[in-house]
Amino acid sequence: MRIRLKYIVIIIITLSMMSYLYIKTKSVDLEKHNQITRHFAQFMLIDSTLNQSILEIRQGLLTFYDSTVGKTNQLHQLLTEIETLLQQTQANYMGELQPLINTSVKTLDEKKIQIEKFKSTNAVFTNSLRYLPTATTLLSEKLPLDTQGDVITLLLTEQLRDILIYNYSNDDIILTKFNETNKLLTNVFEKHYKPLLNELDSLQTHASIIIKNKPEIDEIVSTILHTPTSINTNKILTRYLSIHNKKIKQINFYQKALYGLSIILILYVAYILSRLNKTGRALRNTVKDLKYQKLAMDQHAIVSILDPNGSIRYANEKFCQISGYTTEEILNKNHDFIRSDDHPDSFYTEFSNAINSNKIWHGNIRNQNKNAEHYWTDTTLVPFMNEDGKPYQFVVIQTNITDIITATEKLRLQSAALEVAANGIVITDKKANILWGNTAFSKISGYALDEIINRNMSISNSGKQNANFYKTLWDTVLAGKPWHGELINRRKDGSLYPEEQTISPVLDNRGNISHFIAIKQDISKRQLTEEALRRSQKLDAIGQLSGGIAHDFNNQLGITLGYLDILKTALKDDEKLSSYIDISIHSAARCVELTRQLLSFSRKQTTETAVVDINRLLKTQELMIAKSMTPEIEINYVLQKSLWPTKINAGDFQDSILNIAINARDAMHNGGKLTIETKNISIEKDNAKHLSDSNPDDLSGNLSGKLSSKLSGDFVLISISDNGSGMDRETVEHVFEPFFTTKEQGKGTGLGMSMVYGFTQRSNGFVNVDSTLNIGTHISIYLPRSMPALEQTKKYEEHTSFPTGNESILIVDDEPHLLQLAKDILKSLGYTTFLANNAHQAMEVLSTEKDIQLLFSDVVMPGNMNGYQLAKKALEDNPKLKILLTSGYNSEPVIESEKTNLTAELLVKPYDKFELATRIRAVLDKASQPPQQ
Amino acid sequence: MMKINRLFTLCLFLCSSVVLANDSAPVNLQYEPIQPLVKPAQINQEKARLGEKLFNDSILSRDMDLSCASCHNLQSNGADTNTLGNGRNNTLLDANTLTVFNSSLNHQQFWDGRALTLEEQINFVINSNKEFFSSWPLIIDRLKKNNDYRYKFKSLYGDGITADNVRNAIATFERTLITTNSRFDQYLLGDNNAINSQEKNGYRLFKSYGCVACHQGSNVGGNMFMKLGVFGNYYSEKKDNLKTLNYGLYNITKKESDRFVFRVPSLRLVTLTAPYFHDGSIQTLKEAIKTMAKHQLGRNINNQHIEDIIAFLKTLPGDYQGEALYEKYQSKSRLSK
Repeated sequence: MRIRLKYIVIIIITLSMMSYLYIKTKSVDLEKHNQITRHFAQFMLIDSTLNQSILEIRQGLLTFYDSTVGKTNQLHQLLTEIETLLQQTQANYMGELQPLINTSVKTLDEKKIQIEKFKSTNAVFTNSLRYLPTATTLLSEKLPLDTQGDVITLLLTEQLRDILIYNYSNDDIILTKFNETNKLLTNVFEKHYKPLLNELDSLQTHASIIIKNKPEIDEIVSTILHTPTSINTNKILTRYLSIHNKKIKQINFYQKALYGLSIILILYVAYILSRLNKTGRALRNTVKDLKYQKLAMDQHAIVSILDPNGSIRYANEKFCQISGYTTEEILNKNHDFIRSDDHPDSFYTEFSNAINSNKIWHGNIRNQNKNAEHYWTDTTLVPFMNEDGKPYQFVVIQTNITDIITATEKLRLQSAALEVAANGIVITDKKANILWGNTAFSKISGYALDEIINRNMSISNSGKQNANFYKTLWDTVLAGKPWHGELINRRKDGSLYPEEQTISPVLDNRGNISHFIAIKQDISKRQLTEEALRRSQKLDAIGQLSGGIAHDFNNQLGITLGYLDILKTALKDDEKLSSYIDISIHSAARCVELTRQLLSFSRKQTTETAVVDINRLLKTQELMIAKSMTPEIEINYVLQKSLWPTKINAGDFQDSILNIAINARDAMHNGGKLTIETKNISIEKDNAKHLSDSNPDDLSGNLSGKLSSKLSGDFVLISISDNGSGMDRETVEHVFEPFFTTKEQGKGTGLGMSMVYGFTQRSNGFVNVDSTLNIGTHISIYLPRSMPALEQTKKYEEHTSFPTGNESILIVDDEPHLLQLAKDILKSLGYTTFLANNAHQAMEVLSTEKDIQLLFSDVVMPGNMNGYQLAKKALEDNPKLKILLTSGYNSEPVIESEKTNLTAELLVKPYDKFELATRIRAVLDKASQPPQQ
Repeated sequence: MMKINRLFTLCLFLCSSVVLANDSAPVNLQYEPIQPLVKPAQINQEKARLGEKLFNDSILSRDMDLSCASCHNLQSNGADTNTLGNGRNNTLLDANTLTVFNSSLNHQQFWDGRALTLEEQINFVINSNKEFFSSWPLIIDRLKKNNDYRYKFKSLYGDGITADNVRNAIATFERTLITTNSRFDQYLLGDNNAINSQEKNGYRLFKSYGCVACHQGSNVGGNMFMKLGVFGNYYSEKKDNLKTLNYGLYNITKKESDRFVFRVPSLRLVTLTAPYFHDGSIQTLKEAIKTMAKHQLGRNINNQHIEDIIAFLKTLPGDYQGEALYEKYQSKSRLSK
């Protein structure tokens, strides 16, 4: 900008100087000058011809009167024109010339006056001169022809002659003579020729005019001829020319200056042109270089040029290749079209800010190509500024770093994996100097990571291995093979530990060993575990043994108790004996309890389920829940009376309720209402399907058919509602995922609801969540109804009446005494009984005895068919058949696999008469079920 | 001796008279005191036409009742036939109206030559309270309201309607008023038969009496001043009261020598422009010639010579617009009578 201003100033100054000089050179108009000089010449010529005309008139040529007038006018006009021309010239001549012109005009006027005077005087004079001889003759003729007359005539003739020769000068003699003659003649005529006196008078007047006018005319003519019109005009001319010449000299100077300036200007322009040429050459070279640089850059980088709005104005081949678009598709599009949106918003904000503040931006961007595949570029964005400091384009140079990023990412993950690996991992050089080790290694060895870097692996040597051991190790790894083995190493604190180690050599590009990687595991714990396992297997064996014993015990106790019951009935009249029987029954019952404890110990699953009253559980938990809530929260219990029992793990249930209650509390920051409600509910299959639509069980991937079958039946419903902040749909969908939490870091484990879910699953129930944002959450737990197999103590209460019947029942048991006991009890109750020792026999009986309505079978039986299998098979033949199974323990794996179908119809051994009667009647009264799939 | 001398002189005089009278050869134009009229060259005809329009337009006078043509009747003699013309409100003008024909050939204008040019002459008429009693601002204002004038002035003169341009237009027109092609001019140009012997004699007498001393040139006068009454006192003999008008050039220069001095009038149209003299006091040409001979030439002239001179003078008027002015004047006079 400053340079431009400089040039403008130079140009303006030069041009104004040249204009000034040019105007100066034009200060004399040569055309005008010629016109002026021509006018002067004309003036002098006409003036001289005017003088000539005067002389011609004087000579008697009257024709020249007109020309004197014309020429005088011409002279006047010429003077006026000269004045006008001089005024018109750019140079100011008038200051000096005006007085001269005025003088000239005045002189011309004077001349004109003289000419006018000449013309009048000359006319009168000429006439008189021409007439005088005639007048003299005419008068002489009138005189008498006498002496006096002759004398007078002579006198007149002489006078005529005198006047004619009277010439040019004051001829005093002639003048005196004329005056005397005139007096004489007047006297004579008065005396003698009175009638002719008038004529003499006239004659003498003419003569006087001639005498008087002749010298006057000479004088006038002389004055005219000497009037310095031409001289004065010539003075003007001389003065004008001198001024003019001075001007010409000045003009010559200005012209030279103009030429000089022009030459300087031309030289300057030539200089500028030569410089421009040089610059142009440099520019061409630069352009060439730039072209090569561009070529080079195009080979390496992805290049695009954007206009200030971000529209692509140029994109190179690499750009097209990586983006998958053609040049036509790219041009004029906003650069954002390859944006992947994978970066956080803050990244794009920072990027926009950098561009808007016209700074160079550098960073890695993840873009998206035409096939929606992502690629990474190392991007540099350079704004190109115009003179106003605003970007007129952005040049974007990118390098494809997708491979690097992918590799880096992979490395990062691998490195993280290495870092978090449970095994100690060490990288050494080929001399076993440690280059890197992970945390696990640090933990195993007891050294901090920075302590071991560059230390040799030998620091762990315990000395427990001999030199031969290490030689073998080295020989193996130096041969390029991995070494694997166990050895004793020493920790930093000096303690020893067993370690399992794998050492793998790493080869360089030339196939030489460059590094070793050692993977170590502290096997001291494993050794402990292995020991524990051995112990556990032992316990398991004990458990199995005791389970088997317990089974037999149960059978025997069942027989004992059964017959004690019969005895008691038979001996009820004998008080003493009855009391003995009662004691026996109590002892047997204690044996049953002992057996049960033994069974639970031997069970693999630690969770113990029991038939419980939910309401009771909730009441025992009431205080705990109340303490978990904030004071602003009001807790309401709406518990249904005579709630169905359900078979669950009570501890799990209480944990679940507590978890849900705590979640409700956290959702009600400003207080609210927590309602815990229980209710019996029967769900038909159709409703079950409806329920399952919103059931989060979908997570487990269960099929809806299977699900709906699980969801139908009798349930105990426990619902917990709050009026807290609620959850959105997305949160509801994830609510049961392990480790999903909406709570702050560290405040929730994300396992609470998972636990609830797991609990309901284990309990063969399900859970339903219904939540509306800002309204509240309603969680329903459905637990399947269980038969009232209540606590053992109740079992042995006195019963005076038992449910009876007359149906046919097939009893299957491998224990003959138990079979007999069951037969005796059922017969006493009015039933017709058939007996079978095993499943095979049972099937035979069922095939012959079509009236059998109920199959009462032991689960564990010898042979290849257990109670469940028998029940299933029997149902296949007779779907209307009712089933009641009985078992000493319910943890048999075989039983587990079949349990899902028939679990509700299991009578736990040992049973008493009342229990058997009640369950048999209940099963028989139950509406026949459709066959199970 | 004396007689011989006298006779010789007489013979000489007569011979010369006879020679002149019997000269039947064409005149030698170069030495003739009277020259034929020539149509002026380099006249802008457009300007002349505009001048003619203005010349005939009463817009120039204050009361819009007079035009130049009111006194200078171009259909007859370029003047009027009154002793003194009728000016504004019929007031009599001071001097006898001179003809506008050939007026451009006068070396100065008016009887006393107070205007050096035709343009100046116009100024006097415009401003005179006996004539137009007008003013240039008034005239220019009026002309500017006239579209025709505005257009014509604009097209002919760059600066439109100005006093200078109006004067120039009128003067240009007046410069065209040259009455060429008179019988006498034809004679001068070589047609010996254009005038008869009486007329030729009249011309000879005109020259020999000395009339030609003042009345020479193409305009037969008009190019010099002369005192009225070189011989004897013209006014005293007329027993006329001396008016300022009679002082002539003296009124302008206030020089004693210029008292009674007037511009010699042109005789080109003298036969058409009676009455005569500056005051129009001389009714006939005969009387005028007689007076002139007596007071200007100091001679007596007989009637025959007067007749011959009058015959000569009648050959002087030329044509205007292709028509002989003499005829025009005659018919006009007859009509007016």
